Amino acid sequence: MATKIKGIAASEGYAIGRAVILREEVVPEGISYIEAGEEAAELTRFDSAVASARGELEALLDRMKADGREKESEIFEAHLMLLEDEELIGAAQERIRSQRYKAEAAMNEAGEEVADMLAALDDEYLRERAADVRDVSRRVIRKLGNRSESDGLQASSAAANEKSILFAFDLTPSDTAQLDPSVIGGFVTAAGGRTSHSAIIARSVGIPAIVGAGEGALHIENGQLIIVDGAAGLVLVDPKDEELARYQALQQQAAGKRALLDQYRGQPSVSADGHQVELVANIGSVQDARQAQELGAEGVGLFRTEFLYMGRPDLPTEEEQFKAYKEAAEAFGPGSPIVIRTMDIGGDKELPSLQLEKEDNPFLGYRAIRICLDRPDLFKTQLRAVLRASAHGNLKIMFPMIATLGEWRQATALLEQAKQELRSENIAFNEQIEAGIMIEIPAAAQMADRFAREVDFFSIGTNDLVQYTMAADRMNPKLGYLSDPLHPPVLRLIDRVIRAAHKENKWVGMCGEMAGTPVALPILLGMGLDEFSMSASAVLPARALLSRLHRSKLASLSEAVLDLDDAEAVRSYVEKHVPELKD
Amino acid sequence: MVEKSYVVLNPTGIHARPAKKIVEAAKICEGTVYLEKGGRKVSAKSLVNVLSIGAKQNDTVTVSAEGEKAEAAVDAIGAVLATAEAE
Repeated sequence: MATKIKGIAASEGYAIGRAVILREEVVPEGISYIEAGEEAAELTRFDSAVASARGELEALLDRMKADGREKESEIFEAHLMLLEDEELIGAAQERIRSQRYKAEAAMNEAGEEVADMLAALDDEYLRERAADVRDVSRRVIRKLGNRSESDGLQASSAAANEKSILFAFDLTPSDTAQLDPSVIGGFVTAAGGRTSHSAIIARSVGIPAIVGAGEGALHIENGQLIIVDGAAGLVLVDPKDEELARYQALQQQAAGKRALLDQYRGQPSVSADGHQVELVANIGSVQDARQAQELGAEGVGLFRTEFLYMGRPDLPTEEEQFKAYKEAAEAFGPGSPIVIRTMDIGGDKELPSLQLEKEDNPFLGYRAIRICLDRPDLFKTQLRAVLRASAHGNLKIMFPMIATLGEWRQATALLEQAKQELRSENIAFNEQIEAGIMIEIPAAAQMADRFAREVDFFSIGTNDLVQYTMAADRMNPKLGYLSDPLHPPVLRLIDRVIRAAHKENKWVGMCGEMAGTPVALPILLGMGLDEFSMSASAVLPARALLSRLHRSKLASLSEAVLDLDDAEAVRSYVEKHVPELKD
Repeated sequence: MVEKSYVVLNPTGIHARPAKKIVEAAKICEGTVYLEKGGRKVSAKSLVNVLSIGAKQNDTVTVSAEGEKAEAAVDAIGAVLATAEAE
């Protein structure tokens, strides 16, 4: 019987194939406990799993040595040693003994603790050893479930000419990296989210994937016919013939499109009449940066640094931030622009370490630059980190939520202080680093001509600009008709900002969702926007569309839309006058 | 108790291979064997611990041991620390 399972769309595309169940590493989140009195038995179970893991490693080592693979065998000799390590195995035993952890949970937590400790060390080589510790603890956990290594990924390659759809509780990044796209058509995991590493790798490898599909994904049988709809986040089990035919057609279409888009990778972003712009990505982490680079972005137009602050009890140190900014720049290489937005906490993003008071109107409240100017200690740490990283790439600094010239001047004064500190400490940074502001408050848009004399650039943040201009909470689904950047009042502000900047020979970017929206691209190109920052997956389609547009023909369109009634009118006007949108 | 200080000569510091040798050497001694660097003192019988002190070339590491064959263990660890073997 045909059934459907809904999950989170993690990696686009369609896959059709036979289910292969990977019963691996079922280490559920949270900790399970044993009953009082079971400690000794659990310890015995744990010790025999360790012994059996040791046996597996020794056999592996023998094979390697026989094959003359000395270098690799050393890695596994170190693994053997970890299996005797007091800090790892002893710590797991201790959790079973005195905290009554189930053996799997004890091993998992002890392994994670050691791995995290190594990962925090100031030595790249040692940080990578964290992966070895995780590998060892997983081997033990696998043994606790009476599984050996070959039950895992290798077995899944068995299916002959048909592709396999992998089902698992969760996949580690290295599992995902090992997946061979010629054999594995797609995967579905019960756990995970869109930003889990396996999802990120799936996107970069181009394997359709659905994560967070829940329990349902674990009740599939080996060999069942499966369709993975990575666009809708849907798993179809034993689909009907007509569904199968429909997805086969979709699959072919998608393959054609991909091949077409691929030719725009690594190419400049140029319109049909030779006008060049920059197509860059919005990112929140170093991983995002790497992925964006692979997906054809020319750099970063918005690094949402607040993600470095979120999901942790303390504040990130200067050193941690420095590393993140430097590594993001290195993902793109020298010269590529990387716009770092100073932290935008508040609004919809809370931060436990700051203990912000609950507000009635958080989007109109104490957030972003308003917090930073009030807490210069916090702000300076970030400014120093960005400056230091500017010695390693083309970093630019951007202040969010600027409403007044005074705020901008205060922010630059603090930036100057941070520079002065670094100079006196003889720490290198780019003296010519550009500093600009986000235009997301109508007040700043209105004063763009005055700001333009002082800043190096603007970046228009349309998500907030729309909600502040239309007085419509963007989180409120009932107000969807107002939350549209194509409304002429918003377009007029954007036009005004671009003109003001160009008059002072400053560049203007846009980092809201609007920048990656096909229907908006002709308007923005016509207005003369210089930089478009969007989610990485939108970059190649935007470059393809751009290559078909003639900028010279769009100036009149951009003017005409400013005079229309509302967003709907703008949308149909653009669709009617820009036939290239349909290609 | 035996205690001696050594300067790390290995250009890549105490990485996997020397760390492994240090643990092996520490196990010569029946009792306790410690490494100390920059105020951090850890058991030399744990690979995790030995790695975690993050010793680099030219760092000074103090080795101390107590119990049977303490002297032999300290000397063996010293030999690893004072070897400029590249990986």
